[in-house]
Amino acid sequence: MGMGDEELDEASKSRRRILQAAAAAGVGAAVLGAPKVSVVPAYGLTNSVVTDQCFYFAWEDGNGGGANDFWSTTDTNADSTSGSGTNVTYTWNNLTSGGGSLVINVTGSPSSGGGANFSPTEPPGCMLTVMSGTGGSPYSNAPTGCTAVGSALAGTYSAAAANGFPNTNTPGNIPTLYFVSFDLSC
Amino acid sequence: MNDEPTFRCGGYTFSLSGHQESVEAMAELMVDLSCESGSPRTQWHFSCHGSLRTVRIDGEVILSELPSRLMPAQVVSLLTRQVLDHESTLLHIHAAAVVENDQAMFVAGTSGAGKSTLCAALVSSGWAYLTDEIVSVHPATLEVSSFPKPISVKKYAIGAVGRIAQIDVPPERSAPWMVPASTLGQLAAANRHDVRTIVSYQFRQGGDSVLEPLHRATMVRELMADGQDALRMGEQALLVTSQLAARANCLSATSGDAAELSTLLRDAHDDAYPLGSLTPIGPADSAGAGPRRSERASSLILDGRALIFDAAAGQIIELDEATTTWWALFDGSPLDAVAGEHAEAFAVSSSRSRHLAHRAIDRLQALDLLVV
Repeated sequence: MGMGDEELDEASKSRRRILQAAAAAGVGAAVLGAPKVSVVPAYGLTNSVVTDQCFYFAWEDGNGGGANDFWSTTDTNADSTSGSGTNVTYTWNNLTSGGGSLVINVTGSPSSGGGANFSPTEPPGCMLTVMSGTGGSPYSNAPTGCTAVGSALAGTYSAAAANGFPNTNTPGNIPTLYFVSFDLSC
Repeated sequence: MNDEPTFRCGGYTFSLSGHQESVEAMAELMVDLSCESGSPRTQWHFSCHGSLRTVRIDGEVILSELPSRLMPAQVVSLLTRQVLDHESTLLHIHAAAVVENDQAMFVAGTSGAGKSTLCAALVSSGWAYLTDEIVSVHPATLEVSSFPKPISVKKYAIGAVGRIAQIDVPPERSAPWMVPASTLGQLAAANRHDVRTIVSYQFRQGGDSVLEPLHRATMVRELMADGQDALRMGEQALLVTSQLAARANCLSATSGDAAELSTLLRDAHDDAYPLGSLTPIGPADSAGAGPRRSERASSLILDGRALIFDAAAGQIIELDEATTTWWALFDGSPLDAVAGEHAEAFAVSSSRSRHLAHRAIDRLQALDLLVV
């Protein structure tokens, strides 16, 4: 038989109250369920409620030794499709604009005067907007309309062999670069 | 004469100036915010470069060369942040809110769950609009204030909102579409409101409307995990959110028809419901060397389930009722003594209680919540 409350220290009294309350609530000595753990956002109030993030795509046609090549400022495997440029999938993970992933499937083979189909899968609650699509002279048609993430695209491909990009500076035989930029709003 | 449009949101007053077309568009969007003159105020200035817009707040560039059609959503987002930062003593919860019979209902849910669409449906069906996106709670009174910013309707929901509210969707619109609530229905009075109902909502394409009770501890965990504010407010965020939930009727709702669900919610908002039970858990104060709750974790028991907020790890943890008992018992007292008390209270063998104690220790230690 247990002691009376008057004989217990404060910690013991507290535990007794906890057990009595649990027993009264019908908790019993039940099997324990797994804790449910949720992550609290790591940002304070100044984190934006709605954020934008800009993505660039670029591709070149086959003129001048180009390789129907796809480019992106935010894809770490930007040149992985060198040589074919057909039916590729780009994935951006860990987005700053609300988390999740942006996936863009590209089907077809863009070429001069032609194009490809871009099918985006947006992160939940986000909206992808095509900001601009341009084509024409190399180097000078970097998209405008949303602020670049990281280094500007123009800075990346201006070096002739950067990231495997072929020499495009042959006069009269210049491949065309086509750009599309996207704005992701969450 | 100064004819710059001037608005007030809570204690934040701002005026619009600069590029006339932008000022007019923004003023039209913010028509539901109370207009007034006076100082001090913050000046928002718009400038135009072709189709691009730049926004300065008190001279500092905040948005640079933004396409004009994205500007409304960005400006409303900026405004929200400015207002919330200005009201830093309030707890901000990610939810929409409407009012009926002077009592508020929160519509919570993760981004993309359909909060704004349901909010628009509720306002269209006669509820008064309080706010969208973020609700500000006064910690001392648990009342909420009005912030009638435009409702932000995402791409997927634009057609549905147009049908529900029976309004034409403009072909040229911002992204997302910003809709002043007064175009859909009435605004709530500017005074503060008590909270009666909190709904955790998830849109389900083609699904029936289902409304059922949600355990208050689960609701608090969801609100804490979905907010922007828990780490800023710390332990107070857990306490105030739990106090709010303890007073409210907490519900879970799924639906493929926001208009249909709004009818069910009206009935639920009127229903009687029991208040919750909230018990703080103090520091582990036994002098013993047994398992002890970590000092870095603040916790309480809401309707029998412990909620543990570990700010250092950025986690909110909900325990079931049985594990909650062990969490509360682990005050540093020797394990054999605690297990013995448990066995006596529940009329089970000591070995059974010790087994359960070790299971609880393993699980809580895995979360780094227990000092053993």
